Amino acid sequence: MRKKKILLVDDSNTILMMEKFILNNGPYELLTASNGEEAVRRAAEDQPDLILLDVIMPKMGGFEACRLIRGAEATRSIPIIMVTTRGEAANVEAGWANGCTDYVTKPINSVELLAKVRNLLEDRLAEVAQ
Amino acid sequence: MSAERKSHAYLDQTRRELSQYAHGLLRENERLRASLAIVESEQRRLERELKQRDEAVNELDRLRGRLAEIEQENAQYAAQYQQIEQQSSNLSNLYVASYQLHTSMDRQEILRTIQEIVINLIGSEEIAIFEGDESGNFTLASSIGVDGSRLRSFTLGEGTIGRRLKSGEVFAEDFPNRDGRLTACVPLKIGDRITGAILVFRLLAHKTSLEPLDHELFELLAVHAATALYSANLHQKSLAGTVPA
Repeated sequence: MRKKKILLVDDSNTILMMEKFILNNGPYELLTASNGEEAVRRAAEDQPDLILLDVIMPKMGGFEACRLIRGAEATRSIPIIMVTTRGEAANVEAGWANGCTDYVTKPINSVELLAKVRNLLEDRLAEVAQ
Repeated sequence: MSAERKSHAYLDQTRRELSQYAHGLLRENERLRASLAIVESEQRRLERELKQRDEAVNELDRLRGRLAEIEQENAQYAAQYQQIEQQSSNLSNLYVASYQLHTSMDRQEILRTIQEIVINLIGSEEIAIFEGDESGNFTLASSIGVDGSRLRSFTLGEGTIGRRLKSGEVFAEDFPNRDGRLTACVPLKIGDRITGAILVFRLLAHKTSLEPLDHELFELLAVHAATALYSANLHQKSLAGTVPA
């Protein structure tokens, strides 16, 4: 069975490494990008099954990248989890408005992240099967 | 017919009738004995079935008890698994922090990494990093989210921060106020010498308290950030030719 591809997007090596540690034990192929532009490009090229997207990044932030990924035919159905330092309602609302599927706050809680990743990947599997 | 003959005929008739009656009784007795045997056999069968049913009920009760035990064990294992996953994640955090601190000899890069660790692994965007000289004067090396002009320098042992730092111990307020006061003061130490400090002010809005892992991260930063910065400073000086490489 094909490993699920997850695209990790963050300009912080600390967070990328942390996310890799959390997800490495699962049956996932992990791809990385360090800004929004790269995330949009890699989403189209690699067709990941899920994207973890940081909000504040150089070149292009997470909200804009999320909107562009949602706007493109080839990538619009990929689930996106926004990773944010700000859990305030306004920030979360902005994430939903730009089309994110879910969000987690930093510092990342590994149990919470794993649960969300598993749920979204299972949902996607069910969607594909239908 | 004479009276005697009549009497004989009556007796014969009565004897026959009695004999028939006796035969009837014997047949009925046979039938009843057969029925009784059937009833007794049925009773034994029912008793066996009852016993089997009681045994089945007992077995069912035992299995129900075992199922409850297994469910309880399962819940314990699930809780243990989650705890182990959390511990593993905590260890990963510590590993990532120490790894990132030692991936560069560039001073600015290390200061950025310290900020990243505090932002992403501890959860604060109000940070000031100080470096000290031989005479105990500490100057701001880097800050984010705080008014740097208010926090340019301090002397070891003087003022709130200087006094906290002098103890050489990590100060951390587990349930800090949200008014921007100091949440943590982490001395950067090489041996017993305090070479710098990391000050953490307000935590992120959704983070209400410090966890045991945060204390471990502070302890790790106290040593690893200090050595990383010290090495980077030496490296910078060696490149500038002010100390031998």
